[in-house]
Amino acid sequence: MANPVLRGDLRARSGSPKVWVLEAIYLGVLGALVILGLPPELGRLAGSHEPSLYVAVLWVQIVLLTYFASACLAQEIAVDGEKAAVDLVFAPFPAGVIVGGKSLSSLVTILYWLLLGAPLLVLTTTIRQIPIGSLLSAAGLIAVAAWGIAQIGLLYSVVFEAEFSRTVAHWITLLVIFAGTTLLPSSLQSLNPVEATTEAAGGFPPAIAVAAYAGLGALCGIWTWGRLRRLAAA
Amino acid sequence: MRRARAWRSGHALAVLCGLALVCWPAAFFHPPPPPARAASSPAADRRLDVRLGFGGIVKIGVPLPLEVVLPPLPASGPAEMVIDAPALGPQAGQVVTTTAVPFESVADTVRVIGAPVVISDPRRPLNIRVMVRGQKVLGTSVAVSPERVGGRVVVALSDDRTGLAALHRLPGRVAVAYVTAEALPRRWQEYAAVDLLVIRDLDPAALDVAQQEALLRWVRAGGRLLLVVRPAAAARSTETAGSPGGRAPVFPAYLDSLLPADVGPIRALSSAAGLAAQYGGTMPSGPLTVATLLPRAGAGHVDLSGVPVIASADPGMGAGQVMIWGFDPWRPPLIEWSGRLRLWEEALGREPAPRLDMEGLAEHLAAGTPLDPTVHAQVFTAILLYTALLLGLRRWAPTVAGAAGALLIVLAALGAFPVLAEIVRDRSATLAQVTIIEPVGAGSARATTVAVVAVPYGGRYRVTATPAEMLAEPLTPASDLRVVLGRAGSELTGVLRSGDPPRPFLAVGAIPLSASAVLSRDGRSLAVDLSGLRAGHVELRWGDRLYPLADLPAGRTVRELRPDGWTAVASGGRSSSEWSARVADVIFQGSGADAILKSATPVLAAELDGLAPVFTLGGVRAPGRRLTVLLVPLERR
Repeated sequence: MANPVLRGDLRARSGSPKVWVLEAIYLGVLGALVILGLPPELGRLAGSHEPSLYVAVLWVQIVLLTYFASACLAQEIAVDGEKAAVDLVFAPFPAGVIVGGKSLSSLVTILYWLLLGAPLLVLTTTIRQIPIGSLLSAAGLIAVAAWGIAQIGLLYSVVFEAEFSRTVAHWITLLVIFAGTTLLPSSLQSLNPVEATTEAAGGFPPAIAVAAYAGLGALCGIWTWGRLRRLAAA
Repeated sequence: MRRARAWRSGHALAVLCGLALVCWPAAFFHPPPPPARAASSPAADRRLDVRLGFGGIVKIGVPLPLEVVLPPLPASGPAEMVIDAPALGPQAGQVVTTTAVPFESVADTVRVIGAPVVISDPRRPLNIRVMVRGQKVLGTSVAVSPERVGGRVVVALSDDRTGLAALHRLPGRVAVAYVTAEALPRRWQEYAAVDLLVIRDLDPAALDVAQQEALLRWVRAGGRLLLVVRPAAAARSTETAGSPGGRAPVFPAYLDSLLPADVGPIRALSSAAGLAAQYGGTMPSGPLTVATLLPRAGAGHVDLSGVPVIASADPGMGAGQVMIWGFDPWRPPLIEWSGRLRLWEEALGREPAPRLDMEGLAEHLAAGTPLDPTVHAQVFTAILLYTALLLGLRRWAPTVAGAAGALLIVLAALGAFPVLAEIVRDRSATLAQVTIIEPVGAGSARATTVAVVAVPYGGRYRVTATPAEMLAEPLTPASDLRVVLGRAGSELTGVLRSGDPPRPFLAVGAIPLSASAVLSRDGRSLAVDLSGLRAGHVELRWGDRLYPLADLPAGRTVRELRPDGWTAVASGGRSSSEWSARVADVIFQGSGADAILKSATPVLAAELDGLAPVFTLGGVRAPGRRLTVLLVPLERR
């Protein structure tokens, strides 16, 4: 780990009691859903297009991971010992290292949480004989979408100085992404993370969503990098 | 020197070859191939000879006899005859039930393979193929012509293959099949299509033992048999017996226990007008030769000019009926009698109502297959343990190394949770079944088993129905269903997708069991003989009245009945479990219950213990639910 920001963030997140609580909430909610969704879906017609109960577990997973990841980067959830991107401007790190480190630490955290939840998902999908490919497809989409949206949090952490306005902007953004996208035309509804997860659970993640959230993440990263450079120059 | 030696060797070789060419051409030219054997005979000689139904007459939705004569097969080894029977189902044109009969093929040998088959969709042909060592060697399709489908089927065993054409005017789309003795089934269940079997000409030696037993069992279990005495043949028999007026062996000895009457002397009556008076129509004038019937105890009879010429009786405890006509309706004047249809209608009887509501039973069985509660406990414990271990480690070692160590727990869980998932799947697959046993006399009982297999999360199931005498079939049309008829029993395999309703099956057979119940004329005493069985939750049912009795021990028991002991069904508190009570309610209150409860006699109903289950579900850990109900019609003496 050559990136000192990444190293510092991972060390801080590993030891943070807040992250431990987040993990407890995350695993508790997923575990409860798996147990509650255990009874067979006798009322559900075979071959119907209604999503199965295990897809609901994926929905909850993408919502939780997206919020936790973006809230951590936006400093809405302050992880003990983790410095904000703005604070690191005054450290001897170039803007690229800061953005790269923050982005990677967010991605690693998302992947780690996905791994923690994987046994629970494997349990519920194996019971229903759902191919592992569907699970991998959904996990890949969740990772990309959660990282892309978390990058907005990173951008907000350097754009908004006031904590209140940052939090409001973060919540409005999440509402737009999770609720507003449902109003899009049907051809674009795959941009909704929940819709995209449902499609990915069918076997293939929607390309438009993967491209959009990966692009969004990259764009926010570049924007943050530019903003940090200007801040450092000032 | 070396060249000379080589020349000599070559010369010697050439001489040897020349001699060989002259003396033994066969050494160089292969002999012509022998005449083609059966394996390579023309395709026309290797067609399957298929006999379906009764002389080609079929009925929809019931087991029919199918006999296939296999020509000499090209190879020896494990083989099977596979029958694909289309059925009407929700997926148009796709529902096919496959029945396979395994056998050991011996090359160049003709074989006859029989199997019961149910035709549910006559619009599509039955496909039959023969596989040897997994390779298809023969195949054919059998189309069912609409005019060969009968609503009610009369099967006539007669040398004279005419005379019953008028029966199609009777209500119920009556179809008549003329058959020879070898066409009669070897499984009594394959008579299910037959509403009336008429035996006019029967060589006692023509039926093999299996056919004889099937015939007797079918009649005892509810079949209708009409025996026609041909007076000329009876006269010959009487002369052969050398005892005029005595009992003549007109019918084969194995039918003797069923007969409602013995056949007496032949009489020539001046007129058959008496029959017209009873059944209507105009009887042509002329004498009628009849065989005098000597009715046995309990048999009803119709007399013509004071001579009993029609006798009928119920040969056992079942709903079967055996009739004897002492005249030949194929001969004048009866063949020209305009009122003969009413006589045939009486012989054919009313269309019997189904005694049991199979679909209703299957629905209630399906409702009684909950997920094993221990499954919930196991999954809950596993998830709790996993979460506790993870969070405990992260709390104990709040470092990057601790987080990496947690991944080892994840890895272990990824290995263990699929195993747990398989346990959940296995425990969730269940089989529920109810067997209704109705004694039919002669130490035999009709057993009807309805079972449902539930695979709640979807997957393959394998159900075995034993013994082999139980004929198992799907109760509703089902795709992906394969029935293998083995020596030990039938194996039914298929796939249920997640969310599919439980798959219902039906098995009908006969088991050795004798039980009887006699109610005294005054209704105050009941004598029950259960042989070696012990019965629980015994009750008498008569219409909507119920008389609860305690459990009954094996052997003979006599109970006094109190006149005020009869209660209305609704208020007759049952002590059996909720599930079995609900299933019993379907038996006695379902759409078929009228046939049981509104018959002339009350029935004794009980739950039996100790009988082996008919259906078993392979690979499951849960035993499933099972109920065996004994139904004995009460005799009044």
